[in-house]
Amino acid sequence: MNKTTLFLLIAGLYAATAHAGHSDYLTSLTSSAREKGLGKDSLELLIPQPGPGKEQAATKLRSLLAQGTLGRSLTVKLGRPTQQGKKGVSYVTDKGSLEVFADGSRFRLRGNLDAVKPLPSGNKAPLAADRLEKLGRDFVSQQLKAFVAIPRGEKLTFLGTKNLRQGGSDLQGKRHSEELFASIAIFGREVGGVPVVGSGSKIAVWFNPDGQVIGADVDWPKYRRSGENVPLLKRDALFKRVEASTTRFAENKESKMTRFECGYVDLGATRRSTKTPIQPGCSVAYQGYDPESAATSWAKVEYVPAAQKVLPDNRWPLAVFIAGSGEPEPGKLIPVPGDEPPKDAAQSAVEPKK
Amino acid sequence: MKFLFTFFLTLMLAASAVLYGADNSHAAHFGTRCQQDFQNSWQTNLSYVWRRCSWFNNELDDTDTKDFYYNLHGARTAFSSCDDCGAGPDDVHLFYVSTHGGADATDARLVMWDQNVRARSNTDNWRLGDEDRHAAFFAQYACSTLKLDGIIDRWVNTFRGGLIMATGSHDKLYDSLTTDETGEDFADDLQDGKRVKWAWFDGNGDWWEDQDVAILASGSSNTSAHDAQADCHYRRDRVKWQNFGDYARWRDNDVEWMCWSWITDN
Repeated sequence: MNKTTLFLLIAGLYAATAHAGHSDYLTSLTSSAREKGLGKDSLELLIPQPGPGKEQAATKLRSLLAQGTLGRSLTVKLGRPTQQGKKGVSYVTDKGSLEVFADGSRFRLRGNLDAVKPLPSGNKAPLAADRLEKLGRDFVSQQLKAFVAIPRGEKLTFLGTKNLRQGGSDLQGKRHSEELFASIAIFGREVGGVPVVGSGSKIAVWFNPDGQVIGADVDWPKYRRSGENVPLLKRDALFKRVEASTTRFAENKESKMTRFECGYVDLGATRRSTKTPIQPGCSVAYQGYDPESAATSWAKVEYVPAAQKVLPDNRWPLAVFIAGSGEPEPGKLIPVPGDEPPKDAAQSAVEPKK
Repeated sequence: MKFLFTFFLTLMLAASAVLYGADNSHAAHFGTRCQQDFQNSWQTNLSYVWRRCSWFNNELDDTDTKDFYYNLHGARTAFSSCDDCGAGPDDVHLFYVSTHGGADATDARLVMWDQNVRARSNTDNWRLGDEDRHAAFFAQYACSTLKLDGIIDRWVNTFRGGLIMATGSHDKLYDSLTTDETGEDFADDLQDGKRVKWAWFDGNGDWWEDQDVAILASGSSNTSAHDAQADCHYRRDRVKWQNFGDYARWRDNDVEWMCWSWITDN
């Protein structure tokens, strides 16, 4: 089997399990990673730069929301914070809200969602993906330009769409309704042609059925190129590490790998630190099914470092493990510190029949 | 004219929420039960559950009363309705659980630690909200318990006790390094005064991972507007952690409509 046939076969297998809302670009990341891993011998580390600070970002965003600069449906006057803590500052009202997290590089905006007029299903087709992409890109480049810098060598990528739907029925199922409440365009980032995987460097723009922006979720740091290149694992060694940490690539009775994307791993604003470089790795999504029904029983995403020499990152347990103890062994769990609860001593030991 | 009708309908629904059977239980209590590992590894380990649940607790107990935090060892009976269970969804205003989930033709199912044991909505006669505490919210970080096809049959009996809302997933919620904060974020959004719907959607959102969030509520025509569908929408879209005591409890045949909301890939 030649390389092209193998690639098409992998792409075909992935397409069978792909999500309807994923863009062709996002789908291609799995096909590409399964064919060649990162497809490079080495990669330059990125250094996250300090954000503007959550208070400063909040002040600027509140001003834009009050002026109506972000759009008619994102116009709201927000007074005092409803909460202010280590993790973030929030201003929540029934007419709109703003939350700013961590160092100010992540925030969530919502307009007056009570004013949205849902679109009954069947009345009119929802906005198509290419239209949502266009509207989303316009919003990011115009209304969000002060918060979303895209320097030379970086790119805003379109990851796909989601829809918020709502429905209901009488108990007999004689009368029922289904409506579209919002469509959401999702964007990611490439740095030097390498995608950023994980929660960081993501933007979601929310639209009402008329195409007006009613919300946005932004996690967009500035990166500095470190000048330090780290050698990457070859494809086979990378796949061995991935399988040891997650599941086999081939579908098996326990689980199925549904997504596999490699690039820079940014775990998001609350896990990002200016002291820890953004390093190469892969995002692996896999899931299992309840044997007694067709329903999904569990789903996991694991982030697997891809460098030969992994840097410790105290917010990334697998990176800490590999940096300190070497390669993970298949089936052996990497400890994740957490507060395990006790058994309820009063609980009856007698279980009802299955 | 349409605006006036909508305005008066909203006003009547708001008034009816207060007039019919409000319990005004403002002192909010919550409890949490979660499971990360499973007896004889009969189910896949979920590495981030202890973090998710304990961080949920740490956040919400800043403002509210945590009544318990237990694992799911021998816990199947705790999910059934009873006055003396002590540590199940009927014993608190908000119950948070994280484990494997599922749905079959008859039941929504939550996996217990014990091998081959699942708590089941109809088989175990879940009927929540009619005990002393008047449970209001049943939050499940678990896959598929709110699977849309057949959702009413699997859940209506649970709501016949007066439960206001179930939150969960119609398909997948990921166990991941970037979703270990979802419990904390949900709690934080509740404290902010967001509607419970938005607290669940925002708190569990992750735009890289395909989080399939969903919520479910009930409605009755036993309001001044006599419109079960509109009542259901009002409750689904408006109830908050701070005002659930103002909402009527629809029990037994009062429950005439069920409504849901979900974020999906298509």
